[in-house]
Parts: sequence; C-alpha cells; structure tokens
Amino acid sequence: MEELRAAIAIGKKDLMVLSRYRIAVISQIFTPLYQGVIPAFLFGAAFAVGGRAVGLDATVGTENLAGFIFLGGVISGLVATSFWAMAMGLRNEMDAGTLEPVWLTPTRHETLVIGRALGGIVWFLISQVVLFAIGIVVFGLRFDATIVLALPALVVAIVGMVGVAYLLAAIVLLIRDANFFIDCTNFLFGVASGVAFPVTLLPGAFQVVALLLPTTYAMDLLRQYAIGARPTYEPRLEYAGLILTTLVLYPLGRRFFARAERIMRVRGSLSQF
Amino acid sequence: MSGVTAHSNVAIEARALVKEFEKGRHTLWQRVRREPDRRTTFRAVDGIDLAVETGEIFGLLGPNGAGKTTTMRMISTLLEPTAGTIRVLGTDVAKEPRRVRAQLGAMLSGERSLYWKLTGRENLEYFAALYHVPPKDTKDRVERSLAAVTLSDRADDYVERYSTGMRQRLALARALLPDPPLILLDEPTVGLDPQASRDLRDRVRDLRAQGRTVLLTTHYMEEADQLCDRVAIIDHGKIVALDSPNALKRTIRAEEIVRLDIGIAGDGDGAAIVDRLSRAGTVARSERHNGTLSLTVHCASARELVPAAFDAAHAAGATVQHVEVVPVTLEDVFLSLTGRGLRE
Repeated sequence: MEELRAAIAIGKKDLMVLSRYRIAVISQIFTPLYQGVIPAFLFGAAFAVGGRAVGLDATVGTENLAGFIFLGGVISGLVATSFWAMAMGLRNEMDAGTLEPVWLTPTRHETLVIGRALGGIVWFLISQVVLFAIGIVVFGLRFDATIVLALPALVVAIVGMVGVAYLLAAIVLLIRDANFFIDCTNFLFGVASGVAFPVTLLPGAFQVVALLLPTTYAMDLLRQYAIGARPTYEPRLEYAGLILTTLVLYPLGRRFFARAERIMRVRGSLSQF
Repeated sequence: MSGVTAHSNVAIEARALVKEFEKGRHTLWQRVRREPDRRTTFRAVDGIDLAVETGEIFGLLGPNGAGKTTTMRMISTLLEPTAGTIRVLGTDVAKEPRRVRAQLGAMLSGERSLYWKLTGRENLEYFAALYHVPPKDTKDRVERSLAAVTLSDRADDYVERYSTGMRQRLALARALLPDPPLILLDEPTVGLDPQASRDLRDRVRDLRAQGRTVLLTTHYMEEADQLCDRVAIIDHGKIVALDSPNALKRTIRAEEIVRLDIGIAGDGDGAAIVDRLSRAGTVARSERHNGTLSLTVHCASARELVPAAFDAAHAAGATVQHVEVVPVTLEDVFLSLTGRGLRE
C-alpha cells in the first residue's frame, strides 16, 4: 500500500511539474499531430484513387486511412510515453539532481518507474482524447464499436511497455548519450511496431524484431477491432504473442534495472550530473 | 518525537571501510580491438573506522577530495563499499538498505535536489509519500518540518523563487520528514552567505537538542569547531585525528598561532629567519612567494615570538610586512597533521 501511494505521488508530481510548463503541454499534444499524423494522412491521401485508399485496402483490408493513421498514433504515443516519460524522465531527474534524494527514501527504486508510468499513462490518455477529438472533427475519423474488444490488448501492451521502460531506464542511467539513444530507439521501436505502415512491408530482419515487441500485436488487434483491418495472425494468436512478449519483457526489464542500480551503487554514478 | 529511540550508544559504526573507484575508460570499441585495459583504481576511502555516538553532532572535516562525501554516501546506502562494514542504528547497510533509509534523513546535494517548479509544501508532501509517512500524519509532519526551518510563511511559493539559503533549509526540512533519529548533512552551508549559514547551524543545533544524531561533512573549520561534539579529520581517505574540537586543538601544544609575512630582498631564502623562529616556537608552515616569506608559527606566547621575529628579520636584512596573532583553530590542527591547509 505504501508503495502504491508512493507510485501515485510520483505520477501526480510529474503531472504537476508538466502542468507548469504550459507551452510544453500544448507542444506535447500537437507535436505528434503535425509531425506524424497530418503528414502521414496527407501522404496517404495523395495516393488515393477517386478518394479511396485502394492501396491500403489491398494491403490491410480497409480503406479507413484516418483510422489506420490515428490508431498508429495511439501505439506511437504509448511507445513515446515508455521511452521518454518513464525511462528518459528518470535520467532527466538524475541530471537535474532530484533523483538522489528520491533514491534515499525507503520507496523501492522499481516503484520510481511504476510511478512515472502512472503519470505518463494519464498524460497519454488525455493527449489521445484530444487527438481523437481533432481526428473526428477535422479528419472524419470513425471507428467500429468493436474497438472496445481491443482495450484488453492495450492494457497488456501498457504492462509490456513498462517492462521495456525498465530496460531502457537501466540503459539510460548508465550511458552518456541517453538523449540520442532514446531518440533513435523510440523511432525504430515505433517503425517495428507498425505504427506508420503494416509490419508486413518491413524488411525481413525488421519483421523478426517486430514479433518480439508487444506493441506489434497490440497495434494489429487495435486496427482489426476498430477499423476492420486484416490482422497478420488470427486474434487468439495475436493475443498469445502479446501476453508472451509481455511476460518475458517485464521481468527481464526489472532484472536489468536491478543490475543497473547495483552498477550505479558501485560506480557512484547516481550523483554524477 | 517518535523517531528518536536509543538503539545503543552507537548510531553509526563503520569498520575498515574502503572505497575504490575506477579511473579511465575501457570502451566497447577498445574491447573489440582488444586494446589493453588501461583503467586504474583510485582509493577514495582507505580503511576508515568510525563510531558515531547517539545524540552527538559528529563532523567529518577535510579538504575537497579527502573522502568525506564518499564516506557519507556509503553510510547513506548510495554507494557500495569496496570493503568493510557499516551498521546504522544497528542495521547492516549492505543487508537491509531500505530499513536504513527509512531511519535516516539526509541532505546530500543541497538546493539542486528540490523540484523548483513545485512549491515548498508540494515538495514536502511528495517526499512524505516516498518516506511512507501515513496519510493522516502527512499534513502535520509537513507543517512541523516547515516550522522547524522557519519556512512556514513561504511554504506556498515556488522553490524557484527561494533564495539559496531557503532552498537549503527546505532540503533540511525534507530530511526531517521521516522524523529520523539520524540525520546526514553533506556540506550543509556551502554557498550560503554568513547570515544564512548561522541560521542553518542554529537549526542543526536544534536537531541535537531534540535528541537526534547528526553526521555532517564540512571543509569549514569554524563550522566543525562551533557545531560538532566530535570531529574526525580526514585526509587522502584516512582519518588522521578524531576527538572533540578542543581536544584536537590541544594536540598543537600551543596557546597561540602567529602568522607572519616577511619581505625578503634579493636571493635570500629566509632560512635563517625560519631557523631562528624554530627556537621560539614550531614553524608549521613556511612558503616563499614573490619575495614574501609566509610563516605560520605555533607558540606558547606571541608576546615572546613577535619581537623575536622582528629581530630575526632585521638580522637577515628583511622586513616584517604583516603580523597576525590568532587562537588555535582546527585548520592549524590539520596543518600540523598534514603539512597542508584545508583549502589547498
């Protein structure tokens, strides 16, 4: 119970700090829109034939371009939350000098990632609601009611991404070029998850990597239930893949995080900012 | 105060404490190319034995890089010792680090350790949750901590609007949140103006009056002298002396310290002057810089030594430019033990 309270306090603190940078709040909502969603939508629209996304239909079995792109934005947002808010946020605290006093409290150090995940997910949900509202009003975004069937997949994917966040936090707390590392891997992770285009279009090696990521399966399930897209595998197999990768990534991430924590205690690198 | 309970007479016990750090890098590229590993080890703490008694203010005094902060960080569980053992309030730091952290308040990195975009109160409420302060006690605990450092009237201002001294006091308030029997303070007054320093020292004395144990590091001799019940002087990772400030000063075997600047003409090295003064006292320090010989002499009576210094200077064709008679300080103790000043 104490750890849960601590995690909630961490999430609340992150949201409070974020709310005091108002331009950053606006930027965080609209950057995915003008850097990702709108260019992808216009690019897709440019290749439409008579207003129909026939190429998309042939590849994934739906013409719903706006739905395809905005749902990609959901998983892209989840990946970014894991990489930037959960993992890189911890590194930012280390650089700012606030991680050390937090480390000195009796709260378990793993809880720091969980707390950041809570704050990050609340922010992720708020930003997705805003993006979807814009999508519905401006881009004619429409979903099937069966989208609710994909919500369990999203929840499992969130757990899997917390595991990824542990793994990433372990790395960024130890390396020098953390910002560059997160920037690159966030992009590659999103591409391999199929956020911008179907994973079947990826080169062979990337497709293997895609199968190791929980977000690939969550992406597929989300598009299948929300816009009737053709999944790579049948839903039960997709769910199995999602659960299996999450079951592997979560404990693996925690193990790496514990290892990184030990290395920092030996090197004394926690206070090197 | 519920947190202050007697575990025994010893609050902190360190035995044969050693900490080594690696110097240099052995990159992945160097490993791939099978280049030799040129990393070396640097021993920051070299076999320290320490016993801090319950209810005392204990100071670790030494110059920058002496090993004070490294020792403090090992005690606080942030650093893993290379060798040796530490027990804090009877708990082994290596075996039960969370239990140790639950019993200590620490102020290790000062004003940067706070969230500047939160108010003072929001900072403390946040840390109260991390210290597992029960929700029903949080408001009261935060108010008491703020009052203890006289920040109640500015509690709802953003920390970014605080002065450095206020931020230091807020960091101290945070250390008080768990109502800890033991408090660690690393260079608590660095960067503060004299008034803010005095203010913070008063707060530290209050902690002792409440029955808490305080371990602090400092490189300010006055701070150690005024605040601490006992002081361990650290140099090159070793404790070179440990006692009460007065007892340490008595080891000098001098009543007064005379500092002299003597202008020496030409190529003279002042050896005759040093030789002459060595008969009247103990020359603890002798430095020649730009034609000026700076001496620190420990003596029983400045009334006898100063005329002797003038005589010696006159005989050597030199001129006494500056004379200062001061009482013995911990700086002089450090000087006599290491041959160097604390600020070197």
